[in-house]
Amino acid sequence: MATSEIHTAEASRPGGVRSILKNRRLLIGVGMIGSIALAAAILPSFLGLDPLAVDPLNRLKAPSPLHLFGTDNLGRDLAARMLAGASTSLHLAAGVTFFSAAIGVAVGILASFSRPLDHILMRVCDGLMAIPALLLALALAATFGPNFSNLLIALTIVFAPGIARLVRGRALALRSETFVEAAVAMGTSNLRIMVRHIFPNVLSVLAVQVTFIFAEAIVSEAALSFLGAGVPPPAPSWGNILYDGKTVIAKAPYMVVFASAAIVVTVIGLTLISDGLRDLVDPRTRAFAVETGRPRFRFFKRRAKNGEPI
Amino acid sequence: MTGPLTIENLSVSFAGGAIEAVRGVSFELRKGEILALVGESGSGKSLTARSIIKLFPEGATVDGRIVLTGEDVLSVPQADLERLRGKSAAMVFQEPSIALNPVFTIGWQIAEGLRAHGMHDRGACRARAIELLRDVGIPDPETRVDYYPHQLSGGQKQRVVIAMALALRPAVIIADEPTTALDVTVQAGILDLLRRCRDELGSSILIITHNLGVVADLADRVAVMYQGRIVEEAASDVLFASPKADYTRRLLAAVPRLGQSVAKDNGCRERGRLVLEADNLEITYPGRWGHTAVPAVKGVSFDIAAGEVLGLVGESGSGKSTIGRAVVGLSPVTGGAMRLFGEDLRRARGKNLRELRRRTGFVFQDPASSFNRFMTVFDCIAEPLRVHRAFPSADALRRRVVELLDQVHLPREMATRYPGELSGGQRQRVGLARALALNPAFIVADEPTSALDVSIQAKVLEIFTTLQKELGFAALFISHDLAVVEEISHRVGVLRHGELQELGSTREVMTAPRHDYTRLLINSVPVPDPVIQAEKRRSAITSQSADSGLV
Repeated sequence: MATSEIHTAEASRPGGVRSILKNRRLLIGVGMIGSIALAAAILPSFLGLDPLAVDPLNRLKAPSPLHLFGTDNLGRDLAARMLAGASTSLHLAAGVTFFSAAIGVAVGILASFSRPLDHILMRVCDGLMAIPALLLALALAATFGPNFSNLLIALTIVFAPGIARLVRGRALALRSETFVEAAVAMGTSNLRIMVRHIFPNVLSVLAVQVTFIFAEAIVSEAALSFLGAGVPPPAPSWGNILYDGKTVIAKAPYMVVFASAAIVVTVIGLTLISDGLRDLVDPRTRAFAVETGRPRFRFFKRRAKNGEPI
Repeated sequence: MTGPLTIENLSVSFAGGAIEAVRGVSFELRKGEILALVGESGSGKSLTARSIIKLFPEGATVDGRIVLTGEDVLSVPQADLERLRGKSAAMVFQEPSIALNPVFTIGWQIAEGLRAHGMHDRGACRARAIELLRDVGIPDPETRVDYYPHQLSGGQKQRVVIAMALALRPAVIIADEPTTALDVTVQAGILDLLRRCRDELGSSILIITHNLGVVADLADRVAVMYQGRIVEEAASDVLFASPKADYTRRLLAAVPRLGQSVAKDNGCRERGRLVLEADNLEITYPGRWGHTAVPAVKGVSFDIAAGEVLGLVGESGSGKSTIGRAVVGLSPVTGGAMRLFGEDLRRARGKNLRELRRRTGFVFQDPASSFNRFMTVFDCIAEPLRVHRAFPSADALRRRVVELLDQVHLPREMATRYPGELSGGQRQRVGLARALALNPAFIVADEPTSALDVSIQAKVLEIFTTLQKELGFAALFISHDLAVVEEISHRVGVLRHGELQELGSTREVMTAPRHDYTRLLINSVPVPDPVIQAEKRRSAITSQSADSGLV
């Protein structure tokens, strides 16, 4: 207990900028995702790329100075489609992540405060989690029609229960912590306890989970679009580029290659961010990471303050 | 003649010598001697002790010589080191519940040491384990040898740990705070056991402790450590009678002593309006599936008048904390009545309960976990004020928080720091400031100093007493430490197994206890004076022999 106390203290210290800058994985991950997002936001208008402009004469052209990534089976510029697809994918994933985190946190914290509500909410979550994620999203998209907002709702329903469970577990543990009892003892209302005391303390586990959800949402979107239940054509997404590329894989393999590479790079970037975040917020792995860097100093501090039992 | 252990000029440093945890420590442990290593948190005493069997944390730079039964621990090869560990020196750890592996029987764990040192006959191992258990005073060892650790009490577990240490009859036993996690009555038994190890087996014992009472009871010689150095080393009766080093004197002065605090003007004092009344109070934790309900408090009656401090003492599991928690509604009152400011706590709901909580402050035991680590000290103290909207303007709120910081003697700059950056004593003062923020008429203090070093404890208690006199709040002071309770409270209640054994003015209870259990409790507290302790021991032995004579 004594050791974790010191580390949590350090983790919570403001001005943790230095520890962020030292976290190489986090930086690389943020750099990867950041440059993809930036490219998707700026380049199309800057270079005047139109992802929907059809040019039947130049179908399935290999990459050239004119079309950096080549063209697809309708002669559309693949670079433009890749960038527009990135924008779609990232928007969707960000939306899914935000909404499922918001719903998950609300449900999780609420459930930890009332036993009857806990039983109801958690059984609903169990039910949703029992269905394979992709199947549920597919069914929802098939029922409500494949478009961006339905896809968003479908994926949010898929991912929110997991977050709710996670947050509930953490919140239940926090509820028996002394500082929450202290808040109860001073007459704090339940709402204030949830917002002021529980919420900031679940953020650490949430931050890590959320990056995973982001990555998973990207893969799920691609899978759904590939299956035809995602973003409807002609709007580009990495999933439909894969779908289009599938039929011409022998003639123009670069389509599949570029689209898959984009997905892989994004997911790796997100995984790096999540790894980095975990090192940042989890006291134990953090201690290890720091110890390998500056072992003696950190270890000594721990002993000097708390090494001696009282 | 040299003893089994000699340490010469031991230095342990970290970060390539930038931080020195142990600086040039030398001492010698003679045969059959009990040497106590005393010091506060961070003084390097545990590190010194661990060096003896070369248990260093990673990244330590070690210098010096440690000669254990003729071999230099720091330079012997690994194989020899394994032989030395257990055979020449064995360790008794602080927390018996962690030192034992929960998935093996205690017999297996005792035998493990024997196996590691070449005893492979299972029957012989078991027989030896039973013998050891009998030696350390575990009743019915033939059955208990197959018990798992969770089936034993804390004191019994510590006896098992000692049995493991004794398994190979080591020349040196290192006991690192062996009684800190135990109740006083249990502590007395463990100290007796350690003394017997020395008397009957001739082991030398190095005991590390922060409790000067334990030192006075057990040790022949004492070495006082401060900031990695030994500041004083002397025979224990000499050290207690005439401490030489400045630090030793301060340390001794900070120890609260039973029966020596100033008698308070109580008893005959006019008792005003009652703040808290407990009438045949019962608190039962509800049973869950297949478990019977656990009664924690059974038929306890007491009351606290305005401006009065009631001390509640008892050992772990006596229900004292449960009563404190019930006052603010953290534990349910299931029977009898508890009235706070005349309001029945069983009926208080919603607004009434909020109002009661506004008028009550609570100081928690562990200052480390009682603060939200995302809030600054300022926010922590301001939280109750904000919750109850006590101050309309941000400016008035700020002034109040600063005033509170002054009251608990904390510098104002601390307001912007986070609780994790403060020391234990400072944090506990923040806890006190938070409890006092709304000017409560009643404060519950649940073991507020048990996690602190003695010198820091003294400071926190002093602040508490001064503020209590100044502000005149009533308080329920819960502690396992009789000396602390005596120092601070007007009246004392003694709890055992959820029942109130004795209730009376502090002086009455402490000087003329009516109940046997109170007497046992008072007698078990080791006094930081070797002469008194020796006398106590003699009288205990004579009364014991008188008892057995009668039987």
